[in-house]
Amino acid sequence: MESRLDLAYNEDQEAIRAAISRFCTQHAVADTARQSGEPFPRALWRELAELGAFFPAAPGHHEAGGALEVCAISETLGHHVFPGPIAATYLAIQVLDPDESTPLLDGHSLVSLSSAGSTLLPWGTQADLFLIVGASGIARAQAPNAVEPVPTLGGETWGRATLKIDKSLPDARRGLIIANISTAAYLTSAAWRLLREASEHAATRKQFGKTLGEFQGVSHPLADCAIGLSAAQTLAQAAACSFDGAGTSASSALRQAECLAAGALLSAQRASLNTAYVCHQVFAGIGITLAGPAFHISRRIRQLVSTPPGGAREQDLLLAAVGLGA
Amino acid sequence: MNTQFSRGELSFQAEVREFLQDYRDLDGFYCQGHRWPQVRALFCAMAEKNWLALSWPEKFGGLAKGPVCEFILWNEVAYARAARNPLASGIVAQTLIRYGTPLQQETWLPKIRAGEMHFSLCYSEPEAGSDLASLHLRADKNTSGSHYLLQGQKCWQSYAQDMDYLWVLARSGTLDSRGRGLSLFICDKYAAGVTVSPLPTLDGDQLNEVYFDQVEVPLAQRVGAENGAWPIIGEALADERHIQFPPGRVRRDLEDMAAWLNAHALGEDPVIRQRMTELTVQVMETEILALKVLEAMVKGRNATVDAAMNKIMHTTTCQAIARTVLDYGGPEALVSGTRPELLWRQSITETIGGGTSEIMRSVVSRQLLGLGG
Repeated sequence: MESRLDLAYNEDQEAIRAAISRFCTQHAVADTARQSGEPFPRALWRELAELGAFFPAAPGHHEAGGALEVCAISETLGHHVFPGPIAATYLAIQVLDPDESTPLLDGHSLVSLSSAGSTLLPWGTQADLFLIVGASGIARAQAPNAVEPVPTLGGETWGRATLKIDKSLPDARRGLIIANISTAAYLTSAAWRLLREASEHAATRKQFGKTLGEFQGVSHPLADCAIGLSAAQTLAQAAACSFDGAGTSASSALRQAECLAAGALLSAQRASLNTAYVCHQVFAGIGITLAGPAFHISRRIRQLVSTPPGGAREQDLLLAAVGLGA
Repeated sequence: MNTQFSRGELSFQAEVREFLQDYRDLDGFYCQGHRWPQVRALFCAMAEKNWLALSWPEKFGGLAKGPVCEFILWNEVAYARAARNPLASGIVAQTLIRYGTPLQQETWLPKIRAGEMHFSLCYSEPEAGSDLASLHLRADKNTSGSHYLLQGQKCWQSYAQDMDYLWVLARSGTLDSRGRGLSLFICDKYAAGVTVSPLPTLDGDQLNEVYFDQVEVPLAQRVGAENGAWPIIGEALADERHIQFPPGRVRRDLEDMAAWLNAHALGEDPVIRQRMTELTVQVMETEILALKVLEAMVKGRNATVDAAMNKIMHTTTCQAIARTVLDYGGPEALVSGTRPELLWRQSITETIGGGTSEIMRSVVSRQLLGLGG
């Protein structure tokens, strides 16, 4: 009985990862994450879009569903701490009509996805399109007349304004699954980068005549981070694989993908935050400097964990699956 | 990428589930010591389907199925709480298939395959737990050279009270030869000079101390070369990585505890729901890490790091589930004989047996992150 079990990306997906990674390295993207309050790099965003980074999420564009490609791209962007509303863009492309999503696909429009009832709009000062996520799904809002800039922990300028719902968008389920996969993949990859760098530091920095990594008080928390990230990253990939296998029907297979994506998101949130905190501690003195190796990544992780979508909906979904329905 | 079982594998899973319907109440997973006659009967019934030789080569009477079917079998058995995978058909048989003499294969494998012969692993000693290479129990040839004489003490042996034979790792070289001076033996548990002494454990079961006082073991019962056991036991351990910590057990713990909370009107408490969400995610993490181990086995890749990760996630999740129910379940969760208090006691043992969490973390930090410690 030949097993089909395979947790590796295929050659095409690896090629996409390599292309995005080259692009990010050429533009020294990771360095831009150190800046605070700078205008959003629209030109860089457009170039990323022109590479085709958002096309896999376009309904009908990818035969298999495109979630694995989204996952692979989001991992790469996470590794390079790429700025911008990546998951929200994937979601918007899934839920909007093609004529509305085309400017998102080519990077000419930027989307802000905020939580229902909140006046804080991620990337709100730059956004051209406003979506709201709530318990009942996704709605499109009218663009506000004025958006007040709000500096944030992540170094990005968000905005504050009161949104007015324009119309509810049907069937946001697939978009939310894709967004959760994207966020989980991004978070775990950013945290893996931090973990690798902290491990290199621990392997070379000596105190009391030994490298830091020879002290179990240092190496074991790092091992726990690796375990959490490994699980979260593989869950995101499994969710993507399940989504692509579910096809277009609202079947039990889609339900499985939905649960896996919810689990991946919550797993990635916890694992990446934990990794950020452990790595700050391992870096010690240089871990608390603004120019040091940790803060520009840890604040991005912290910011993304609290950025919509993602919340109570995922909890209810997972609890219902184990018999603890609301 | 593919995370789904094939149609044939799913069909096998359905067959296993149907078979296990008759063993739903066996409850031999946690306290096999109290259920051994029933667990033995289960193994005999499995043997009738030749499932104890599921992965053995056909040449030795096996079904030559791959690791996925083996995983499915023991994962379903764990989910049903029926039993744990037996040592005999796993480590012992795989070692005999790989390193046994034709006579040893002929003598032992048919009885193991039939579920008639069971073994206890005798590796650890009072002064050699995690550091197995420092073990002391001696194996020296008698003056005529016809037998080995085993002398010394083993400690922490699971199920030794019920098993038929002992799978003994002993020092045949000098003490400073560490892993290079060890040999492997099959020893009749009822041989003169063997004494099994119980060490009751907090899960209500027992471990054992096994004393060897000039116990005669025929030369023909040494497995592999003299002083050549170290790589053999490492290989045997690697054979079993995908079935040692089946995630079905953790999934079942979560479901049982969720049912218990519902039955005690605690399922809608928002604090408990938040915690149960975290545990549900942890169970999913356990399942996916087990799948990573399985995938490594399927692809013939070294699974050491994946297995260490899986062991830590699996065992800490068991503990987290049980501890949460005790934390929030109030006095009702303390009643003896109920599932929460049993799981609370039993799960404490999980991060110790089969390689402590500290050893597992060191494996991950060394082999994956390039650190010492």
